[in-house]
Amino acid sequence: MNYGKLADTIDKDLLEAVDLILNTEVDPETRQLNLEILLREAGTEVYEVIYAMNAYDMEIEYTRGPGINDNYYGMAKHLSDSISLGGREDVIAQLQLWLQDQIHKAQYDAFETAGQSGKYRVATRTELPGCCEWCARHVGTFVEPTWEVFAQHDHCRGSIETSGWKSHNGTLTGKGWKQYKR
Amino acid sequence: MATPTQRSYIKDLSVQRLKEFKEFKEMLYSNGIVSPDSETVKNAKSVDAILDATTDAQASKMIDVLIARQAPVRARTYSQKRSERVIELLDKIKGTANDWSYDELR
Repeated sequence: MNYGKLADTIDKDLLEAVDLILNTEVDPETRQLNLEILLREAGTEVYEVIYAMNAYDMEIEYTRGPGINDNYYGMAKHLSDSISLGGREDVIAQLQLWLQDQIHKAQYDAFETAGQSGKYRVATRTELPGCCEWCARHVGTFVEPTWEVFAQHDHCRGSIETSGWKSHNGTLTGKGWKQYKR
Repeated sequence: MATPTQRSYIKDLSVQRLKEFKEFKEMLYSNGIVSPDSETVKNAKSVDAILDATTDAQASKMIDVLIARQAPVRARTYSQKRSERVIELLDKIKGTANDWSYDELR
């Protein structure tokens, strides 16, 4: 699932808050300190929500992620300095990437914790008798399946049973599994 | 070509001594560090872009001018109205993130 697109819903508010802090009449250190607080608070919230969503999906709701890393200090300095040094467009693009990084880190941390907790996503692919050679080659049970496990051609008659992945669990057949392709 | 040390020093000094990027360009023109019709400076969107096309002699002069310049008087606090708006936006960001659901991912 593309959790990254959720960032679009907070981009506008985050940029407005950053713009308010980036006041030319305020001392650079004060600007930087306030940006650090803003990024830490917003980044932590984003991280925790994304981690919780992934943890639920991976059945490790009882865990907590290690949290965001400290690169928000550098991001805050970069933003604060951009008033005097220019290059605003680049810095804003970097801020959006930074936000995406927090989301990716939360996903990665949940994924790693799930693995350490013995929670693995499994896909079992079966075929009907008389299937083609290509389909027969794809039969099997796969731990942490890659997208190839879900590959299909136009007239596949087999099915895939997924487990260890709440939002995707169940049996996927025919056209129905196209939407679950990763 | 400006050295990495010069670049870093110029950028640190610029943050301390200049309020806005446009002041950097004005400083270069008014001190004769670049010619008034320099297209590079005119089109530059950042100090980095200018430093990419700066000689070490020009960089050295920029440092001298920046050191001689007084740091502007700037506030160390934000207005009440501005602070409240930032807090309001942060609460909104947290609220939006808290409302994220799997439905939005489908």
